[in-house]
Amino acid sequence: MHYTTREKITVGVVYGDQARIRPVWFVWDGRRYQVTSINHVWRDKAGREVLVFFSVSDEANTYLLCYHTVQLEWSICGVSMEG
Amino acid sequence: MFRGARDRVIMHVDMDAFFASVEQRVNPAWRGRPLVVCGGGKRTVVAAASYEARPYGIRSGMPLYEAQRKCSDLLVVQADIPTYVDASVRVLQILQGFTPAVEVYSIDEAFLDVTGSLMLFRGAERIARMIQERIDEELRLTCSIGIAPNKLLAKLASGMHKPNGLQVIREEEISALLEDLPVEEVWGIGPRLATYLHEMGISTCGQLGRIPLGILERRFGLIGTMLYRMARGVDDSSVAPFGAAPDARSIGHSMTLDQDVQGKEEIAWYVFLLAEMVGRRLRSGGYAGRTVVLTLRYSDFCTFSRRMTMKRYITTGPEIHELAMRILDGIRLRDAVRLVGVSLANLVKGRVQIPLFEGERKGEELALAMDRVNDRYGEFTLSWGPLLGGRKGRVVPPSWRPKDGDLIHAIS
Repeated sequence: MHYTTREKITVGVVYGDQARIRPVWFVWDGRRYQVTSINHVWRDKAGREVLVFFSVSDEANTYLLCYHTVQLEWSICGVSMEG
Repeated sequence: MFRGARDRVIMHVDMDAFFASVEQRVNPAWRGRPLVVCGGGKRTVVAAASYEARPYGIRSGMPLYEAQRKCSDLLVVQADIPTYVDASVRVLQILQGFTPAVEVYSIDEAFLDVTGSLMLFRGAERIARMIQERIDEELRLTCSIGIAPNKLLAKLASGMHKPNGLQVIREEEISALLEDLPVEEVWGIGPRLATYLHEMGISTCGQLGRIPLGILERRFGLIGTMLYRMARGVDDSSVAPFGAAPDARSIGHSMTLDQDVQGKEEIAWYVFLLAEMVGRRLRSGGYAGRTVVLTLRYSDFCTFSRRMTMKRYITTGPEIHELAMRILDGIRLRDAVRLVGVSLANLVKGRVQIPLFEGERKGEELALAMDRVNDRYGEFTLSWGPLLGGRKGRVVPPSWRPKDGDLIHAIS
């Protein structure tokens, strides 16, 4: 089952080599989710703004997170739940 | 590996089930399951099928309803072009680490001339393995690679062992390989040409290669000369590095409509949308054109094109739309229309002539002002009234190449 949303979230991020960033947890609607794997990362543009999307999973589901590089904000864009 | 110092070593890199594989990376629950990637329309066709879908006989280009009939558990995913473009650009960056001579053939294919890199990386096969490893490491995707003395044979080789394959065709193997190869498996021989050849009793490259050049030229003209060379595995075309590719000869878009349309008024809306998309691409590439081509496909799949040429060069959606509508007005539709295409040909690049008349000049200035807004805030942020509320086309044309802006350093 999939559903899409667009809500601001709080994300804990590790900054690594070569300007790489890696979300390690996020808080959505008062609940904290621990990222266990980053499945895929890609960029898109909304006009001039570069958006960086992260497909991440916790123990149960897959989530689509977006980093807005101009506003320096994070949002959750979608959830994919098995079953 | 290849004889003679002047021999070229060409590589063809073909991403395996690219769109479907990227989708399976994005969503781990889809891995190992039959999946197709499609466009957004109701009557869309399969753009890519995962390897799990292929045993059901599902292939790219097949109508979605047919694919769903073949596999009841089929996962249908709508194409997400930005994700594929990003992955393609990252693959291109990996390839450019091995040679500057990388020709982007499409969003999921590229040719490399690695002749000058052989010493540095100690052989073509080692380069190919390193490319496969890097793409796996950085994107968790696989590709198949063909290595041969030219592009024609490299493309043939990459398709021989998919997925994640590596095939080398050596100079001394060419004639034996081509002898029994069906003509339709050669890059450039499409279904229609293959049918003509079959009617002549030619089904393999070996048979084609034994037909005298004169007969082929009389039957097929210039294409006959090409067939004669293709049957022998000869191809002198060079790898055109990214950025040095020849200028476009035409720019166009087409779309299959959600349902067949009878009235010209409704078709006119699609023509306007396509004309605007063509105009936008035209201006971003610095082109102007004189010949508008309108393509229509009836519900029985009969397809035809009509063209009209202007004396002056045009660049804006409304101008393209106006000419396309003049073409449409002259057509007596015999059936409902399922596909509409608009393209502009007779192109020039870098035109500096200022339009003579005020109306034309204002039209161009308005289009450029709209471009600036859409560049900043996103496509179709500012558009023409009749197009508001309609679908925003986002497709990958065959001529897709990365833009300079795509090649910035990835943040992640």
